[in-house]
Amino acid sequence: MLDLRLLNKERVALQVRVKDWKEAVRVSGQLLVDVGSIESCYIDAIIENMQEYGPYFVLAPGVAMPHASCSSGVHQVDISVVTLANEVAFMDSLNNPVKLVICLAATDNNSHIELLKKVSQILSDETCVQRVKHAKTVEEVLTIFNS
Amino acid sequence: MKIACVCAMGLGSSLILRMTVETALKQLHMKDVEVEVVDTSTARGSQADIIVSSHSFCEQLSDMGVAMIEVVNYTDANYIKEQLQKILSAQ
Repeated sequence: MLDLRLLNKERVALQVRVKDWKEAVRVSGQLLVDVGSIESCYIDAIIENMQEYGPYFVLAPGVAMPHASCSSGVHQVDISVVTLANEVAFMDSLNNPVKLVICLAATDNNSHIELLKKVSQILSDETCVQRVKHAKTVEEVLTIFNS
Repeated sequence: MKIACVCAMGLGSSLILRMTVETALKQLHMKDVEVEVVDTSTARGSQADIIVSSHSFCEQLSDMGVAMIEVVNYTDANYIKEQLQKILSAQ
């Protein structure tokens, strides 16, 4: 049976204090390195891409979804969820400051579509987004993502 | 009608944008609309009727002479719905 549960506690970190957007990306990416879904080069690729393309993945108010097309650093499709204790600016994004960082490990154009549909459903519900941003326990976040 | 969601890479933010555009189209009961995800170079050759993208890509493609919806929040279907209605009623 395919386990469609999106998240578990190893992929969530709440109220993390970071000094800037790069650290926010590294913290969220590191969760996926630790569970074996990506290599650290994927995190480097995200940071380089942002320096080249601008804050392309800050896609809703206070929400960043860092990802890159470097499929060589990705072992499996996955996401991590990090909320920040101190909101940070991701360059000059119009959706600054960022509170919620969802790191996406994507291998190609299609295998992560189901995952993205679920993420998109959650992000399009403002009440859900606020609950995740201000969640005090990992269980609250897991309930939202795994429902 | 063809709508092109333009982005840097085509595998993350733009897929979310496409889902939001599709939600907006459903709310407008619009069928027979093709929604594709492209990068900027493909956008130019895409024959799209409407481009949906962030400010910087819309700016880059402004010389295409095609209707544009500039999006800040990729998850706001209501905004995209309103902009589509504006474009369609102006035609």
